[in-house]
Amino acid sequence: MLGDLIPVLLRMIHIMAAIIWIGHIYVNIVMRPRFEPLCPEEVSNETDGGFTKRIKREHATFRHASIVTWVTGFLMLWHSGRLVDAAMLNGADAVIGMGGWIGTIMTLNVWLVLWPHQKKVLGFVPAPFAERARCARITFLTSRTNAMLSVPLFFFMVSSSFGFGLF
Amino acid sequence: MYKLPHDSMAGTFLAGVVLTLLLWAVVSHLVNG
Repeated sequence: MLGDLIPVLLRMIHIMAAIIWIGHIYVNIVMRPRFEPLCPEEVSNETDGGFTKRIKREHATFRHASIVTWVTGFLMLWHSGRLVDAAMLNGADAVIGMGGWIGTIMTLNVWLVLWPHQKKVLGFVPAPFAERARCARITFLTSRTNAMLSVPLFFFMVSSSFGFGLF
Repeated sequence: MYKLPHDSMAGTFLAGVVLTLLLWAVVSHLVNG
């Protein structure tokens, strides 16, 4: 019983965290279909007001959802004994392995590229307007890169369970 | 300013589909040895 419950719980948490994470990226696309340079009127100079606190919480939730998604994905592969073959893209496990590598790149993209620049755009870290405008372009492209990567990510995740005849 | 497929909503997802097709071919090759 417990042996069946653990992978189901891990998969549930994995999917819920992925919805929060990727859903945030898709909402961002709906709100800003194309890039528009940052305007001085758009930026907030507030540092600890209620709006900033809400934005910080929203971004923290989104960032940490990427970690939860990655960790539960890692644990599912480890629990099923497929971790090494998936990571090495060996045989049949290459399908989920490719999904896992794309997810890893996306997680690193969030933490190592998007977040350091987003802090300046949103004013969590003080920066002159020109620097905030430069970072806005970088965060836009980083977010869109993850939206683009989400297409093959979902393809490999779903087909590793339900579409193996495709390979 | 330089433009990329990511600059539009359709371009973002079209680039994702193209990348999927390329990786599908790669993974098919890996699976079938």
